[in-house]
Amino acid sequence: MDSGTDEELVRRFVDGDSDAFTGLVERHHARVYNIAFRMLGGREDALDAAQDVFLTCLRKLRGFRGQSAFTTWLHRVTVNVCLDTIRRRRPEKPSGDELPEIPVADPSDSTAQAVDVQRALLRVPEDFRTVLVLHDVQGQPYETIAEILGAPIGTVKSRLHRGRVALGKALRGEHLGALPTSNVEETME
Amino acid sequence: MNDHPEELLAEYVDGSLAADDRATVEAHLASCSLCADEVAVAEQARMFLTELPEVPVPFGTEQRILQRTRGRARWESPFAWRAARVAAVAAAVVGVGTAVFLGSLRGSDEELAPEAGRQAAEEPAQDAAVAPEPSSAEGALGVEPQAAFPAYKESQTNYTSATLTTSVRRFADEARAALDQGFPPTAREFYGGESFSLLVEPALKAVDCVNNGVPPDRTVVPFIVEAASFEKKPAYLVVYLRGPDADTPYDRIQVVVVDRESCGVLHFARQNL
Repeated sequence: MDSGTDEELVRRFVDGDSDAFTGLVERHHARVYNIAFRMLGGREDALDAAQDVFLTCLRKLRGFRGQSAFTTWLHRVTVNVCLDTIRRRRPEKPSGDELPEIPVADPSDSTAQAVDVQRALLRVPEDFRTVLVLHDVQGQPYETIAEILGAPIGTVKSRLHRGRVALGKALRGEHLGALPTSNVEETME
Repeated sequence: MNDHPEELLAEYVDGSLAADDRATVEAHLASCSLCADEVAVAEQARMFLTELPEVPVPFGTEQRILQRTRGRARWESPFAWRAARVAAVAAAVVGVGTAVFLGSLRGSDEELAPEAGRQAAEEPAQDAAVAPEPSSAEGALGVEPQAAFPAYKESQTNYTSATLTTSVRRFADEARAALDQGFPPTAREFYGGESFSLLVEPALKAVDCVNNGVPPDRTVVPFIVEAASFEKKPAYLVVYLRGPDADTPYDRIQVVVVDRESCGVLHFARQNL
């Protein structure tokens, strides 16, 4: 529908062309949904999060100054929406070690292995999970993830390693123990 | 001092370390069983994660996002959305309830004209058909707003395998009539045009349930979506139009009935057009 770079679409939207926003949604909604699905573990939560992400975009796009790529900014919004969702849920699920309730036969994951990995992923503390999803699932480089999270690159690498170890233990059914967690800086432009 | 080169281990597992750092890590792993064990675990975890498939986006995700952002934009943005019509249709869905037809036809249909729609909204009757209010944007563009398909309907109908045989023929007749009156003749035209944007909640949820996690196949067009019953179980019925491919006119309808709770298939039928 809309051609041009993301940044051109953003500029057109800020100038009053609402079709440009539709173009951004068309182009990016699948990736946003996929990140949210891996972070949150369910279709309904991922759908809600995807809607919240683009609502946030709508409100904040005029403040987007183009200092980072639009996709980096969009990833940051997506991660923050997912982390907010996870933290809002927490009082209902005080133990991070409980197996999350996800359908065993969720058709979104086509194999039993994928279901197991998704289930284990949800047991990994969210700051590590974020880096696992962005790097190992989405293939984002360390530098981009550091920019998305507003964290030093060394922190990203460290969380990636700790996250992988936690996931591996979760897959083996081991208790994850007291893993350190740290907050992702809220660095909306 | 942290003796374990944690920041290097992620890159080591990724295989992206420079030679000198790799040698440093390997020297450490030879003498640190803790890190060696962790690296083995991390390598396995990385393999599983990179093999995770992309999850299919539920049918209508893009539409849901656009509907929510458009509705909000009217309050939060100074910009006038050109497709304000979608919000008007959503309002019609909320306002009526029993039965709503959504859609756009270029031809005319007296029964579904806006006047009839307003009358139905005032006197909601079983299976009433309601047309969206024309927006000022449409007026400016000179587009005739008309209700038709894709249609969403909530009914008390209790379908059975036997009654569906007759219903399927009626659905096919309705499809032929709609196509004669300008319903997009191919899947490509449907998904690329306004008709798709008029498919709103709760029809999107129903279609998503019928698709049940299967990636949206854009060669198949939802034509009628009905929340009814099948052999006394709450069910969604979706009538799809289907052609050999997205660019060839439809040659058949497919009727899929699923359980409204489990989304499991209860009945399937097809009829050539």
